[in-house]
Amino acid sequence: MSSSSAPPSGEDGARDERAAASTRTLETIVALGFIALGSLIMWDSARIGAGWGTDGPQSGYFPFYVGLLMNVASVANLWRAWRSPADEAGAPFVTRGQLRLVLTVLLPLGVYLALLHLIGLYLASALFIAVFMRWQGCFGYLKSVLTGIGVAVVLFAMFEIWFKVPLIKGPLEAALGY
Amino acid sequence: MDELQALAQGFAVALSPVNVGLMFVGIVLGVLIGVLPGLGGANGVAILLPLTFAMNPTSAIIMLSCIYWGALFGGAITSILFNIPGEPWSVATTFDGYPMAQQGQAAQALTAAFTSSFVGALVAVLLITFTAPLVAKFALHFGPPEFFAVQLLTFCSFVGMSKGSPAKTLAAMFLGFTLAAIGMDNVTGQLRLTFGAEPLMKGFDFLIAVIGLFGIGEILLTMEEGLAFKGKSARINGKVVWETWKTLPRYWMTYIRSSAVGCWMGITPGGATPASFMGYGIAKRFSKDPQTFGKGNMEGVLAPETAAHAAGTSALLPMLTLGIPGSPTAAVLLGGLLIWGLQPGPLLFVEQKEFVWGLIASMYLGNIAGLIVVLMTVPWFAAILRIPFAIIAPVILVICTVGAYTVHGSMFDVWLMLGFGVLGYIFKKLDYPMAPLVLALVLGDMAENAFRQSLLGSGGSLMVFVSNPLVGSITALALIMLVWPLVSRAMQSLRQRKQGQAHGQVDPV
Repeated sequence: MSSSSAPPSGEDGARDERAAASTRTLETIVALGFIALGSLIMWDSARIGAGWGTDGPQSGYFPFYVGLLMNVASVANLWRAWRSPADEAGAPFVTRGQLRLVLTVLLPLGVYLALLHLIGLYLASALFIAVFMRWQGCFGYLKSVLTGIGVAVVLFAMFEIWFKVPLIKGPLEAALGY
Repeated sequence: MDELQALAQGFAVALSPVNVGLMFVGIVLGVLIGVLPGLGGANGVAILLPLTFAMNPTSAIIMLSCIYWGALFGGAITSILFNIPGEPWSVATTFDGYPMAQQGQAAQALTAAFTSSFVGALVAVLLITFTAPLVAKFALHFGPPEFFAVQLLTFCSFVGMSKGSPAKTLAAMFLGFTLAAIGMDNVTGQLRLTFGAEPLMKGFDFLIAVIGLFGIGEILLTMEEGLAFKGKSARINGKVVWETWKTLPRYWMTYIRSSAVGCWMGITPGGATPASFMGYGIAKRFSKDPQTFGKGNMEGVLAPETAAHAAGTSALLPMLTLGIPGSPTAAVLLGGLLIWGLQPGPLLFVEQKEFVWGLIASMYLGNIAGLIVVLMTVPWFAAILRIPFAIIAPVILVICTVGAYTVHGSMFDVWLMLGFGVLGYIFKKLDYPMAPLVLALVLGDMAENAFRQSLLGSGGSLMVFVSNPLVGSITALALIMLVWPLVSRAMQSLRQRKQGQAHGQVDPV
């Protein structure tokens, strides 16, 4: 359900006021998503039994009605999205410039989470902060790297040493004997 | 006066050196969370909750509830100095707080905001002290049908009191119930909605949802606005505080109105945000010079702050007595109770006296500590906001990630957090409310159990929910709340038609 409707256009950056997707489009996608989910719930609940068993209500009894009511509410939302005046529903959900800015956080965050598996949380966090500062904030290399390492060291002290809550560790921590 | 005696014992618990220390730690962390974008009361408490698993429950809840008070205080700082609400409930504070700061009265506005927050909280704590034991005693006679009816009332209140579309409130709420139902059915052991996927079997943890929806979603929204913090600086000294305090008693009527609105909105799960807007609106309507509102009227600062803090605090009343939280943050605290092995609900007042009264006593002390801390440290917290967003954003994202990971030590949860973040961003922009989703996720299993037990007792007849005057009137009230949007819309169009004939204009309701 993410912002897949339009990729950011490369030419004129954050001030691009053109709509990447209209509010009506997103309203429709979300409402249809709810209806799909609601139907899935009803189907699965019916499969495991949504009626009255020998010992009371079956497992699917409650979720079945949750799914049903979710569908009813979402049909109402869908109807409203299509009925509402054009200036309201046709307004941009997000402009291209805004979407660009959102993706400058979302994509690095995704890469960071993927890196967690590989190199451990501390190193990945230091890298993420340093790269983000350098790239988005135009800070100097030294300042960016030092901030990144600083945050990682504070996290390490707090979680591994003080609270004794282990976080994901990679080869670097292993080399240091943790 | 059993309450006073119990409260005195509570103070003895809360005043132990460890607990007082945790109180200050909680307040400072809370103000920090309230000031930073992307970290708020609900997800701040959610991130720190796993660190308290090993603590004594009383100390843990004292610290976590103080984070909540701190966040309530902190929201006002950014509103007044930067015109950026740090928390949704401090949006109304920007209306008059920022103009005051522009006129060089930032210190007065901050003092008024903090003091009003304190007054609102104090009224709510007094309410909790004297009515919570009675409510709990009364609720001891509740059976499953009554509990389900109260939960129905909670959820219907969301529909009845939401400002936005009732259908969206319902959709968000049922999404919460769905997420709660995923995993093992705790009555029959049947797996539901897992489709054979192993990570789904243990179900969704509401903490992950809260961190994603409120934390990541908020950062994405903040990023979209391309925020550059430009603010006024403030230095509060004793003289300004004293001068401001001298003017405040003049507004006693505003305090009473805002506290009443706040307490009502907190107990019924309207929450602090609508309470602050209502407090502002009512103050403006009753004011002698409503045209000065929005231009730096002090009353426009203290009315929403009083109401928001009263609502935020009184949200703990139904959580403690009935096990039904009145706000997302209260819902996270309730989840904490379950994790520490305490069963929320009326029995808490019987079985866990020390815990309950320690918490209530800490509410008094925590708010006093909060008032002192914020008055003394405002310049430092304001300085934090001058740190560029390019540093703050990745650090907060790292904190959210760590918070999500520590809940169960699972990478799946971390990716789930990202998914909830995107969902939170979309929902926020489309006005799908987040609070009912979180409350349904937290209460889903309890509501379902109460529902099934009620039906078991009645042999499947829904008439059990109107079978005696008590449960019948709660159910009736719930249904009234549910259809309230329809009723009020009908009344509004009727009134508009009448007025349109009389004056040719429409009065905003």
